[in-house]
Amino acid sequence: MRVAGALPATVHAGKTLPHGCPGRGNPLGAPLMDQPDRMEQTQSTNQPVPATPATVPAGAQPARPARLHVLGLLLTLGAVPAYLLLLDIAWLRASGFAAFAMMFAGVVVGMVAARREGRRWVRIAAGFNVMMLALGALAFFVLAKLPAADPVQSELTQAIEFTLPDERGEAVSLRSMYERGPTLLVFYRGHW
Amino acid sequence: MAELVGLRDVHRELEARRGQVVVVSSDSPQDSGDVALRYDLAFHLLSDGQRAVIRAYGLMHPRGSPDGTDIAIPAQFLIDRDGTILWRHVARRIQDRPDPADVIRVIREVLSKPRP
Repeated sequence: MRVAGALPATVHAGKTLPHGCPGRGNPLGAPLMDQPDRMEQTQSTNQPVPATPATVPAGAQPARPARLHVLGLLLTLGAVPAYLLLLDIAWLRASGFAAFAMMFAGVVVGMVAARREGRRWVRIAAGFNVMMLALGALAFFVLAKLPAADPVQSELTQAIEFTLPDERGEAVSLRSMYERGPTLLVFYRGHW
Repeated sequence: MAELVGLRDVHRELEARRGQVVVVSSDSPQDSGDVALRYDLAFHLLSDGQRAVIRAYGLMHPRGSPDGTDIAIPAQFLIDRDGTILWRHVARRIQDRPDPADVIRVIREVLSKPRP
C-alpha cells in the first residue's frame, strides 16, 4: 500500500504542489489543506521510502485511487446544491466562493487521481470536473449578467408614486407607506 | 426567495421607525400571496402585472424569466418620509443582492443623520 501510493506522489510532487498533492496518509482530506500537506510532502521526499516493502494486499491498492476520483466528482457535482443551500448568505451568493472552492477542489482531486492512475474513467472524470468548473464560471460570470438598468434609475432622487395591489389584492400606495416611516422599496424577479 | 426571507430583519429595523419593507414584482397577487404565506412574510408584496412601475423605475429586464416574460432587475431603494431616495442598490448580475446586515447598517447610519 505504502510503496505504490507514495512513490508516484514523490515523483510529481514538485509539479502539483501549488494545489497540494495528497501523497501519503489521507488522500481524501489532504487537498483541502495545502500547507500541512506540503510539509508532509517535503518530508516524504527526504525520507527514504523503501522501508515499506511490497507486502501490499493485492486488492487494497486500486481501492484508494478509485475513491479519490469519485471524491473529485462529488466535490464538483456537490457545488451546485451547496450554492443553492447557501443562498441565504449574501456574500456567498454574490461571490459564489463556496461553490467555486468546491469545484476547484474537485478539479485538483480529479487531476491527482488521473495522475496516479491512468485508467480511462479516472481521466474522463478529471476532464468532467474541469468542464464543470468552466461551465460554472461561464454561467456565474457571463450568463448571469443582467442588462444595465435604464439611466432613468440613477437620476431618480425622489420616489415615483404608484398604487399596486398587494398579496391580498388590496390597493396600496407607496406614498401612504413612506409617509408613515422610512421605507425600503425592493424590486425582485418573482417567485419562480 | 431567500432574499425576501433576509428582508425580515430589515423590515423589523424599519418597523422600529414606523416604516416598512415593500416589495414589487411582476408576480400575480395570487402568487405573491402564496409566497407571503409560505415564507411567513410580514411586509407587502405588490403586483406590477403591467410592468408599469418596473418600467418607470428603469428596471425592466425584457424576457428575463425562464419562461420568457419581462421581469424586474433586482433593486432596492431606501425612501425617507418626504419621498427622497436616500440610498439604492441595483443588481448587475442575477446573484447580486445587498447583504441585509449592510442594509440595516445603512438604515442606522443614514436615518440617524439630520438632513437639511
